[in-house]
Amino acid sequence: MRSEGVKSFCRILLVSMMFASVFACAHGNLDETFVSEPYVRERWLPYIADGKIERSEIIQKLGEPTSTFQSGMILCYRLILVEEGGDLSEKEYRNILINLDAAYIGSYYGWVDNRRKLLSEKGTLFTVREPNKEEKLLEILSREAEYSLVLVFGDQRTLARHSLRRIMP
Amino acid sequence: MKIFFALVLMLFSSACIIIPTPEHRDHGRVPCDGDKTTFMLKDTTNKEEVLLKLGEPDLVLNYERIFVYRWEMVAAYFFVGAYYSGTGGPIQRSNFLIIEFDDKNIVVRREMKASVFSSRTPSVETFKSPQPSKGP
Repeated sequence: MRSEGVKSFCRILLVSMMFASVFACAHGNLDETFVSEPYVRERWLPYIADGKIERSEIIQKLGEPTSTFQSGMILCYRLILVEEGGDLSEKEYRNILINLDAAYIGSYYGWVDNRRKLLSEKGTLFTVREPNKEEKLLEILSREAEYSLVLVFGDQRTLARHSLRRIMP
Repeated sequence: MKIFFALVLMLFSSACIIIPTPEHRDHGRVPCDGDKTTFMLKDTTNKEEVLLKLGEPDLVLNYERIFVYRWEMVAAYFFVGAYYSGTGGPIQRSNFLIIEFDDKNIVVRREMKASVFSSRTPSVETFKSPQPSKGP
């Protein structure tokens, strides 16, 4: 009778240990909703539509492009998703990097998901250009996502084709 | 006795282990290889198409004739153990996609280069065509 009890206890212990090991190995999944290309396009770039917007209007809204090709017929914008407001302090920057490292190493993305949600409400798409690269270095290094917006204009200086690609992370 | 020996060995020896893994992206730029470049055909695809599909290049050379895209992949992990401490991390492999265009902005060369144990961008000369290309 006693040995039956010990056997049952051992079985329960074994099953518990198996469950514990399974849960210990469980990893979270990164929520891509707020950094996906369709979301970013709708949230920050709803005015970009082929055949409907002119080059000058784009420059008025997004500022000077990061680079141009084919004598200015193609404009490229390097856009980073960052916190809106003033310059990032050294302390804030360190905090973001520590949390990002911990999330990617540990595969537990709670902090990253929260940041993405916050950025979707209060963040901004910032255009990186050669003149502001040094000034915004901390923001660039701690960006949540980076996109490449390519705009091709027709002869009439109206947007003919465009693409928005998430290039990082 | 064997267990005792293994424990003694673990406690009193330091070591460096390299574990090769299938290449995978940790974080960083999205790779520009495989399915992403199947659209590109020599003597057919133009510069506009390349920019629309791959985004802005990381490096532009020779008056927009050469585009270079760069990304990192993890090729292995290293672990160094010492007496009271240890460290480890990924070994990155830098990948480069080099695209060259002709006078009419059509792709004439597409090349992939990769280097392990080097985080620095190779010299600009290494991206240029083996044959001297003409200016604009």
